[in-house]
Amino acid sequence: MADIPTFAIIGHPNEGKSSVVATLAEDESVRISPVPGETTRLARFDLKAGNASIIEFVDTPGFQNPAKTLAWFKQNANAEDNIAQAFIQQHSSLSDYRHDCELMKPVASGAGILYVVDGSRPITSSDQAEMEILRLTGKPRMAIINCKSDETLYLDAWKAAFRKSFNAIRVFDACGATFSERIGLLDALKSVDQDWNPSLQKAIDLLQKDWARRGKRAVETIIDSLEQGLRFSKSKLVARESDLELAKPELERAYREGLEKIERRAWNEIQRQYRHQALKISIPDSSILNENLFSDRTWQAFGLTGKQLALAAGAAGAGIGVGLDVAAGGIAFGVFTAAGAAFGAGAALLKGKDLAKLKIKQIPVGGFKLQLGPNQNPQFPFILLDRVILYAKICSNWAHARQNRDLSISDENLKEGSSSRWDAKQRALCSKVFQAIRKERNDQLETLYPEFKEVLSSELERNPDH
Amino acid sequence: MAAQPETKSSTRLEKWSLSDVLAFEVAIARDADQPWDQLEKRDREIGEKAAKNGVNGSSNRALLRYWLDCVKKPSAEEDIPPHELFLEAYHLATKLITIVAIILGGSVALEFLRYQGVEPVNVSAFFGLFILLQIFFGLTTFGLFLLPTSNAKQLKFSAGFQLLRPLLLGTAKMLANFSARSLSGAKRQSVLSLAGSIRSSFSLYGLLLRWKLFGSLQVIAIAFNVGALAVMLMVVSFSDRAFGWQTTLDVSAESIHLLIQLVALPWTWLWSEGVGYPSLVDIEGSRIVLKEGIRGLSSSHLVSWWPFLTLGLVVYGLLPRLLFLIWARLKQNKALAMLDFRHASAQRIVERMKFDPIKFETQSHDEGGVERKGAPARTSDETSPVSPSSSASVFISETIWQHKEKDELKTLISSILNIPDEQLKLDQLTLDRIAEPDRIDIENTPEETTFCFVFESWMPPLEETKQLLRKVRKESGSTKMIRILLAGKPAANGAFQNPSSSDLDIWSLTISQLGDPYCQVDPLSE
Repeated sequence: MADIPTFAIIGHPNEGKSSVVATLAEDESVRISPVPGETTRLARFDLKAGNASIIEFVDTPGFQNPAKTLAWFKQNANAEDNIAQAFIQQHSSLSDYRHDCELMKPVASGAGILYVVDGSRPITSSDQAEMEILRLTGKPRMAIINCKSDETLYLDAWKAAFRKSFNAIRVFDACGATFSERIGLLDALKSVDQDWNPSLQKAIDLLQKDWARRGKRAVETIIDSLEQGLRFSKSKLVARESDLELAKPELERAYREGLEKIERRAWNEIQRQYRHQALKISIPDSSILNENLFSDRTWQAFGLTGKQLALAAGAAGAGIGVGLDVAAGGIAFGVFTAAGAAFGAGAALLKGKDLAKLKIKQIPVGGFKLQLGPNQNPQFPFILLDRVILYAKICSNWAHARQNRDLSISDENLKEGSSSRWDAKQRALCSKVFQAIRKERNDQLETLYPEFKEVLSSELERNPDH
Repeated sequence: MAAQPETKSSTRLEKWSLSDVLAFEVAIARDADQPWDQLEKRDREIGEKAAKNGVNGSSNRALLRYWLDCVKKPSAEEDIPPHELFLEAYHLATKLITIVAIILGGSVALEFLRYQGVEPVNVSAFFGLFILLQIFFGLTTFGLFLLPTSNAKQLKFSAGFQLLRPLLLGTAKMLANFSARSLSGAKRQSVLSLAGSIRSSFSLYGLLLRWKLFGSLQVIAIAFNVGALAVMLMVVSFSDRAFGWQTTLDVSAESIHLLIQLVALPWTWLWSEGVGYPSLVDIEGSRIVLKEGIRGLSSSHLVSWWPFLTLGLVVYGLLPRLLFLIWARLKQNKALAMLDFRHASAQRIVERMKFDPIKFETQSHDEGGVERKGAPARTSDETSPVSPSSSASVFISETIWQHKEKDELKTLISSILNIPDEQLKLDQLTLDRIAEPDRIDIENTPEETTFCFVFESWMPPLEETKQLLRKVRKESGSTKMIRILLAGKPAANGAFQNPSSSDLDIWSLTISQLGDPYCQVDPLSE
C-alpha cells in the first residue's frame, strides 16, 4: 500500500469515535452504538477517492485505565523513545489493559492522533489524564469536539483545556457533517504537522475532484431519470370493446408502478454514487419523500406555483396552451386521484394530476390498443425533478455515522422543492428542456443540456434545507 | 394496591422457604420495570401495615417476608406464579428422574442377577457395581459437597487445575475473540451483565442451591438403590439363584474372606458369619472354575452370598444416601436461616417500606426525559431512609469534589445515605488513588462503616473503576454495602442535574457485571 497519512481516532469510551471514523472515511460498515464498549479492537478504514486510498483512519477502543496509564507514562516519560511502544510491550499480557494497548498501537506506529470528546458534557480528571497521556506520546494531535447533544455550556472549558496540549482544535458534528465540513476538518489537519501538508493537500484535491465527479454523475442520473419519466408510457391490447373499461384500472396501475420504478432506480443509483450502498439512508416516516409520486402532499410540496408554471411555460414558448392542448387533444381520465377537482378550471389544468393521456386505437386485424402516457402535465416534470434533487442532496450530505435524523418538510411550507426557488430564467430553461425531452428533439437538447446541467450542479452544491 | 396478608407474628415471618426466596427474586425482577413512584407508594403502604401489625422493623427477614406476602399474590390472569411454576417443574423433573432411577436400578440389578442354570450370578461384578462403586460415589460426594469450602478452593491450585489452566485460558480467549467479532457491544455487555447477575445470585443463594441440588441427587441415588434392592429381594424370593465368584488372578479364598469380613463389619453385630456374610467354607465352595462347571458345587454355598450382597446394597448404597439426604435438608434449612436480606435490592425495598416518601422526579435531564424505572431518582426535599450503617467513608471523584463546597456535598450525601453529617468522612478520589487503590485504607475502616463512591454519571465506568470496586469488596468483606452515587451534569447554576436514564442504565449494566449483590447504584441530584 502507498504511504498515506494515518490518523488514530482516540478517546474516552462512548464519545463518538466510531461516528467520526464512519463520517470521515465515508464507511457505513463502522459499528456504532450508544452503549460503551462497541469497539474492542483496532479497525482500519480508508478514505478513498475513486479506488485509491488517500487517508487511513484507525478506530480504537476507549481508554480503560487512564489514571494508571498516566502514572506509567509519567514514570517512563524520559526513559523511552517510543513510549507508546514501550507501554504496549509492558502491558500486552495484562487483560485489564487490552483496550489501552490496542489504542496505543497506531500511535506507536506513527499515526497522527485525533482525540475525540463529547463537548456536550463537562470535562473530568479522566479527560485531563487522557490529554496528558497523548501529550506524553509526543505525536502530532488534534482535538475534535463532537457534541452528542445541543448542550454548549461546557464547550469553552473544553477549548481552553485543549489549547494547552493540542496542536489544533475542531468542532465537528460527526452525525451531521456535510462534505465541506469534512474537507474543512482535513484541511485543519494540515496545521497539526507540517510534514503532512503535501500528502493531505493531495488527498484533499483528490477528494474534491472525486466529489465533483460524483456530482456530475448524479446530474447525469437525474437527467436520465427525467428522460425516462417524461417519455414513459404503458400500453395494453384488448380483444373486445367491452373489455376496455376493465383494462383501464390495470393499465393505470402498471403506468404508475413503471414511473415509480424509474424514480426508485435513479435514487438507488445516486445513493450508490455517494457510497451509501448498504441502504443505510433511512428516510423518516414523516418525510415528504415517503409520499407517493402522485399523492396530494407531493404535488403540494414540490413543483411550481400556478403563476410560476404559467410564466415558465410562456417563456418556453408553449404558454398555457400546453395544458389546454393536453386536455382537449387526448381522452383524459382520472388516472390517479381527483385532487384537481377542487380547483377552478384553469388551476385544474395546471395543478391537477389527472391529465395523462389515454389513447385507444383500433387495430386493423381486430381488437384495441390502449396506451397511457406519456404524461403531458406541465407540473409533472418539476415534481419529478424536485424529488430526485432532494434525494440527491440528502445522499450527498448524509454523514455515514448518521443513524436517523428527521428530514421532514413541514406541511405549512408548501412548494419546498428546489425548482420553485429558482429564478424565472432557470425555470424557463427547465420548461424548454422538458418540452424537448417530450418531443424527443435531441438537437435542441444538446444545446440546452450544458446550461441545464450547470443549474442542477449548483443546486446540488447548495446545502440541504432539511 | 397490595393485598394485606393475614396477621402473623414476627417470629413466624422470620421463616423463609425456598419457594419464598424464589418468589422474592421474581417480585424484585418484576419491580425492575415498574416506575419508582408507584413502587414507593405501594411499599410505603405495606410498611405502614407491617408496623400496625407489629412486624419487627429491625429484622429485614420479617419485614421482607411480610412485604412478599403482600406483593406475591398472583394477578387475575396469572394462574400459577412463576416461582411456583419453576418449583413445580423442578419437582416434576426430580420425580421423573426418580422413576427412571428406580427402573434403571431394577434393570441393572436384574441384568446382573441373570441366571439360566449354566453359570451362577457373578458376585464380583455385582459387588463391584453395587457396593464398591457406590462407596466410591459416596466418598466423592462427601468430598465435593461436604468438605469445607476452603478445601474445595484448594482444588484450584491442584496439579490437575494447573494442567488444564492453559486450555481454560485458551478457551476464554477464543470466546472473547468470537464475541468481539460476532456480537454487538450492547449484546456483549448484556451477556456480561447476565453472567454478573448469575454470580450475584450464587453469592447470595449459592449455599441454598448447593444443598437443594445435593438433596435432589440423593433422592435419585436412593431411588436407584431401592430399584436394585427390590429386584434383588424379588429374585431371591421367587426364583432359584446361584451366586459364585471367579477370578483369573491368583487370589486365595482367605483373602476374599478377609475382604468380605471388612465389608460386612457394619452388620456383623446383628448378622454374623454364615448369616450376614459367607463363611470361608462358603467362599471356597462357591468359587467357579470354568472348566469344572458348577455341578460339583454345593447349593448351600452357592446361595450363601445373597444376604451379603443385599445388606451391602442397603448399608453402602441406600443408608449413606438417606443420611446425606437428611444432612442436605438440615443444611438447606440452615442456609435459609442464614439469609439476612441485607443486599442492595432487598435494602431498597426496606428503605421504601420504612420511611417517608421519596419524591419521584419525572422531569429527567435525559434527552427524552425518560422515566427512571425500578431505581430511585431523588429530589432535594426527600427524606431518606435509614441506612443500616452508622458512618460512611465517602470518596468523591475530583471533578465533583472541585465543583462544590465540601459542606454542601456532605449535606447532600448525608441526606441520601441517611447518615449524620458528622459521621461522614469525605475524601477526594484522586487519579493517584484510582491508579493505586492501596492508598485507600480499607482494612482499618470500622466494621459498621459503609464505603461510598461518588462518580460523574456521564462518564461510563471504566476498567479501573471496576478494579477499584473489586478491591474494596475483597478487602472489606463480602457483605459490606458499597454505595455508588452518580452525579448528573452540573447546570449553569452549579447544581447537579438528575443523571440521564441512559447514563444510569449504563452504570447499572456495568456494575451488575461485577456480580456483587451488596453494591448499590443511586443518583445524586439536588
